[in-house]
Amino acid sequence: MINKEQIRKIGDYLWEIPHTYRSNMEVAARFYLSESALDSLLAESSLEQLINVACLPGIDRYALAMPDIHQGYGFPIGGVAGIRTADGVISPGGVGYDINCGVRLLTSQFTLAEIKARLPDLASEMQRDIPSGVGRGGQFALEQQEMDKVLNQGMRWCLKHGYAEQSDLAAVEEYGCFGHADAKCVSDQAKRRGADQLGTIGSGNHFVEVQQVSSIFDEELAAAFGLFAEQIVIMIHTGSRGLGHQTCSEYVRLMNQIMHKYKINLPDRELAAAPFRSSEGQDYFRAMAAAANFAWANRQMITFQIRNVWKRVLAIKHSEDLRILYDVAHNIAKLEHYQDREFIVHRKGATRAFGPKNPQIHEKFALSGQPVLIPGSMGTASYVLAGTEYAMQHTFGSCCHGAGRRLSRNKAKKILDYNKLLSSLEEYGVVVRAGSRSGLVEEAPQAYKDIDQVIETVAQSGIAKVVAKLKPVAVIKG
Amino acid sequence: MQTYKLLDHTADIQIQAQGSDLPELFSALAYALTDYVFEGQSSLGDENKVINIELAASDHEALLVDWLSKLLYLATVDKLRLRALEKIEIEGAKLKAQAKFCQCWPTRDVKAITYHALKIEPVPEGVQAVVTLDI
Repeated sequence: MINKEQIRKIGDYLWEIPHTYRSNMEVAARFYLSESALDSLLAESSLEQLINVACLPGIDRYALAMPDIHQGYGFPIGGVAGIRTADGVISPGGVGYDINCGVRLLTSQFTLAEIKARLPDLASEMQRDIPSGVGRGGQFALEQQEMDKVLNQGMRWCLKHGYAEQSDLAAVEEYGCFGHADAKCVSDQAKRRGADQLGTIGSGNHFVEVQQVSSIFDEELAAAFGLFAEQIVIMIHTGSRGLGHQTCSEYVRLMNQIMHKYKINLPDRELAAAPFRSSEGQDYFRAMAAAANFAWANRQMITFQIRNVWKRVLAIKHSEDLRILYDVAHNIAKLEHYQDREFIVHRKGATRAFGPKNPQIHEKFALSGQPVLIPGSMGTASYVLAGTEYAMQHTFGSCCHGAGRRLSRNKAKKILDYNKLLSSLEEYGVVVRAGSRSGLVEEAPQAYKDIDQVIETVAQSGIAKVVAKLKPVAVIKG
Repeated sequence: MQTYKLLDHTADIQIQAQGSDLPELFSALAYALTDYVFEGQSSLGDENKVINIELAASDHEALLVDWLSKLLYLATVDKLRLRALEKIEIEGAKLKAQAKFCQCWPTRDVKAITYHALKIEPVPEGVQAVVTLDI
């Protein structure tokens, strides 16, 4: 295990492990972190994982981790790798089992005071209409032919079938669809696993939250994003469900089987990779894109259901009152260009954070930079940030994605009491609709690291600008 | 003798199991996964379905991941709960098993069986492994 003396501090919040630390490193490993968090990081294995990432063929500049770094599979969570497509690899472990797990934020024109009396009903009806947890399938079960269309078209499928508005697509990363997706690269087993999961949240740390804008840190950026004080917003955190998990599993397995023919040797099976331009690499790239499209469609179907509940409970006529501010993926691999070279940028528990004037984001964000959505754990704050030019220059346009866990699920269940947790959330002003007692306790705020410290590090290092802090007022989860 | 226990893991679930030989180890982990995925589920279908499973992998660790992944798939997609392993044979890195399943709804979501730090090791009682489930 690495020790403190082997790590160089190269900025106020930036650390580097030189590429000479281990002979098979292609590049150095860098991570953003406040000094006060370094000792507890050294007690985990996440830096060893980051060092392993630095061994990937074709990785450029450095293996990188965001300040919410913690242990993952293959890549650490919070890991970012810019890998040259010309001579480098693609690695499913650099995306994760939940392909395009991500966050979407909907904005309303209401303040908390205006809807507070209806909040319990809103929460109850969302819980009823949007399946969460285990065992409850969605109402949009897909036959194979329709599934293939969702995989190839993403949110465009939703638009064709009346579940999305044209303006929704402009507010989503990649406009809600990877054009290179190919449903043929996704197995029948993966499609079966996701067949009844469109429009469902899942379990664990996935949720729908009604939130209030509790603080605004940058008035100009907040105005550009359509945010105002005490505004009610709704955050959705979920991904590609079983379809994505199965797809990742199958390609990790495949790449472990074929790596040797490309003379690729890696220290961790979860890091298995194939040359980006190989047939296996391209198959995974297209399958990943298809699963990502499923996730965008999933978040859109949940949006559709939320809009229906919103209209019904608040007795308003037009659901456009709920607009998408943005939708970000935080487990993904994307083709991007930096300094005239093409990279396949892997973000594993990291969020794209493109700065101002980037042609890949909608022109409405040209001055502000891309919105970056960072969910807190249940009952704690979430944040809206904006991408910066610093991120474009130093982090492959990337930012953190949240706070990692501090307590295991077992420990959380041992030391935290369900009824006390429920009372404290209610005292904090949060309406809770949870599908299971253990699910609630496992996701308690005390089980997670301090999101405020992570955001502070992001802001101080210049990776992103903090725009607003959001406080939960209702939580719907499995 | 088959034994298993859940280890403390910050984000996910780790199962440590032992067996006097590989089939017993694979069997112990199969039941451990089943107990986890169907925890607290008392409602079981009456009819038992017999399924033959044949798998081949590059080595025993990969075979173990394939084995548990198959059971996870049957649980998650077909809502089938392992009731009894009638037969399990491992030769080289190939597995043949015959098992009885019943209809049952899972109560827990498991994303995947991972290869994370997976090593089947000899111990005085036979063999042991720790498997990490991404939940």
